Amino acid sequence: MNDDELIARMRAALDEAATTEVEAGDATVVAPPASSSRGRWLAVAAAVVLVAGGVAALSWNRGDGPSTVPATSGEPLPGPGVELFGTAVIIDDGSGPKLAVEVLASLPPQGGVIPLAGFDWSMVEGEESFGGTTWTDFLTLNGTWDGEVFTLTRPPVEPPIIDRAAPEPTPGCAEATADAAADAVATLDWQALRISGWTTDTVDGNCGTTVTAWFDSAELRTAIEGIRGQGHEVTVSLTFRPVQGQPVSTTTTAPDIEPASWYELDLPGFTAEAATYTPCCPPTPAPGPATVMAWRSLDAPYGGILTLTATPQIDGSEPVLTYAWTDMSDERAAELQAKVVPGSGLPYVLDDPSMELVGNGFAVFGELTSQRYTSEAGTVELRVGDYAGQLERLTHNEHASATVAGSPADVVDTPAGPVVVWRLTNGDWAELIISDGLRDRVEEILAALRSAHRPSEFTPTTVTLAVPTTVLPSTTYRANVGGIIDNGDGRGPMLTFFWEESLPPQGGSLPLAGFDWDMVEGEQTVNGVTWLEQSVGVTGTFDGTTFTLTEPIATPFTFTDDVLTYGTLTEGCAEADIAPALAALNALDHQALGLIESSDYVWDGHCGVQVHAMFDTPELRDAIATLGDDVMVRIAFQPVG
Amino acid sequence: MAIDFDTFYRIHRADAVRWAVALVGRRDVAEDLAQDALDAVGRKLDGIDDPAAYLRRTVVNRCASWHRSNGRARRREARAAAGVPAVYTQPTGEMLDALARLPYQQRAAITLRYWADWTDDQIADALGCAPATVRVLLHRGIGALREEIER
Repeated sequence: MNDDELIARMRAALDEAATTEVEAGDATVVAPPASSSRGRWLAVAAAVVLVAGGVAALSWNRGDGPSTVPATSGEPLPGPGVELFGTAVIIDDGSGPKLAVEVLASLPPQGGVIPLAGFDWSMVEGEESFGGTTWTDFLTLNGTWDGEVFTLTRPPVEPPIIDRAAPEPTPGCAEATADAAADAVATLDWQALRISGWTTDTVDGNCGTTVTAWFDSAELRTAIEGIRGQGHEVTVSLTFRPVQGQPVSTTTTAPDIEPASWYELDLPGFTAEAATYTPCCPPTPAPGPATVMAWRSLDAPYGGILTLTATPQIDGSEPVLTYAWTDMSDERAAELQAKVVPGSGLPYVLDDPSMELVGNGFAVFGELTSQRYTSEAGTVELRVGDYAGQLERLTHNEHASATVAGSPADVVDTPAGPVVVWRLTNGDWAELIISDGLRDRVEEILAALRSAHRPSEFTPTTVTLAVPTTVLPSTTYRANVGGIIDNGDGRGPMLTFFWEESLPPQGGSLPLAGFDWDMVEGEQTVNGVTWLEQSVGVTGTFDGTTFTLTEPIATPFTFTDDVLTYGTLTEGCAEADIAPALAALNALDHQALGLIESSDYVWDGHCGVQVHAMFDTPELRDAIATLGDDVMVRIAFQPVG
Repeated sequence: MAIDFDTFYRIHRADAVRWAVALVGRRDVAEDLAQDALDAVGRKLDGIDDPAAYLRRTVVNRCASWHRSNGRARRREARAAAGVPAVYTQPTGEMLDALARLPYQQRAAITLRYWADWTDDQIADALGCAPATVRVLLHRGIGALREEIER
């Protein structure tokens, strides 16, 4: 098939998809919504874009999400040792590699501004060269800034495609002041202040000037304060910001290049037990786990938290939403709740610029590594892993601020004892659960907690996998999985059937051996986590713990006999008819049976329960027999031959 | 020249849905995503100098988020990977399945270029990459699509 034929087939398939009517019952909105409900904005003026010193015009934010921050928010300046991240192009015209955000569209391109250290062209792929100049596409870069040179702390990675919000206009200023603000900004020494451009937006009664700068600095803050002192509204958008959760510091100590991924308690009288590891994620009976989201006020770290728990309903009706909040008035909480709407990407969106999304996950434990320390007076347990509803603790209990190995944390007072919650640089959450007998020693315990790197040879001593207890015959299996992920914690790549939302994503169902990332294309890496979010077919052996590839990764297989049983598939059944089967299904030991997912289903006039299991075992068949006749079972791992 | 929301909506709704269909392959999801994107852009209409370009970026990002983030979609995808019909009421086809298996950027490049008739520059702007990268994505995307179809 040549390219033209292939494209013609693709166009035909998309034509059909575009014209396929949505099934009755699914709302199809075709009329524009009433403008009154959305707020009609009168046309006043288009954005005015100023060009800084001949450099190409500032565009909307590129890369990693909204970066608009007030330059004088009162937050400490990130010191020279703080790891920053941002998105830029690397360009070398022969004078050494430099970073650019505004690249002149010439051949070769021009625009390198910030000297780059710690970089080698072997770190990147796909660079282009012309006329002695070599350049990359936009890359996400982590590094430190000493005022002169940006020094990489990790190899560059491709920027993820995520929502890139445009800066919001600043409300409250008159249109007439916009030009004056722009004129004032134009007087700044953009080169010395590392300003790469600025825009002025004017919108019916609102206006704002946004200055884009490479880095936060005392000089920049002073300059912006000076502009504001003249009565101008100015917002600053930073290209490079501190890595989330990284403690900001004004010291000049050497950078801690590797972010903490683990902690050790160094306190006399406490004995460490072996660390245990639980992979993500235990199967959840229908209708599935509740979704938990949390937002915090931008005014203060960990201050003003609103959490939403959306509990799905077994009958398929709308999830029940439950809110909790702390450090804000009931009126404010009610006002924010009214702004929560279902989203198309995230489950829910809180449309309020003063609130920031801090967590989104499910109210179940994800992947978790834990370690207990025992003493005569009580125990201390450290848990590090996926988001598991820790934020809910903050809204249900009294809490106080604390510091753990330089990271901001909260001490939550629970009846069973204090629990300390904080977030790691890599996006994981940590909890320190302190028994009641050690309540008066919290400060001492926190002071004795040292950040540590999870050693690469870390091997979990307790592995609880969702696989059958039956000893499986030594044979070769094939399966289609949702992708592959290496969580960067030393356990190596894992097959995953699930992806949980976060960046980087979370997943991991079975450890995978005999695999190399060279076998696949399209993987992404963020914060040390590498993943391929693509359905693939795998062939290999399974020893009860690890799946070992015996053939290269393939496109998904087409199985014709992976359905263990369809039962009798009652026609025209009512949802009440499957209640007993659902109850029996929920009573099963999903973990021991190796169930990936289970739920009720209504399909083509039939209804019943469906089970997706990893392996076909006698135990599974016995369990299925208790579920009635309307059962559809699919087995992921199919014996070959 | 700025326009009001209703005019903007009427002019761009059909396009937005079409673009989203290219990116997600499903009319019902595309309608929702397009609606969200129109809503988001419509609220900032007077503050942006090229609403159409901003809408293109927003649709591409919303669809990327849908692919990346929607937990339920992920579970459907996982089921689809294991052979269970993912969406019982929607037609599926070899070509749509093949498109669904491509990396998002490759899929976006070839469907938006060859079906939605975007220019390389428009695709580059929406994906946040260089036009040269778009040409690479088109080349690799067509190759990958052929492999998926012929495999």
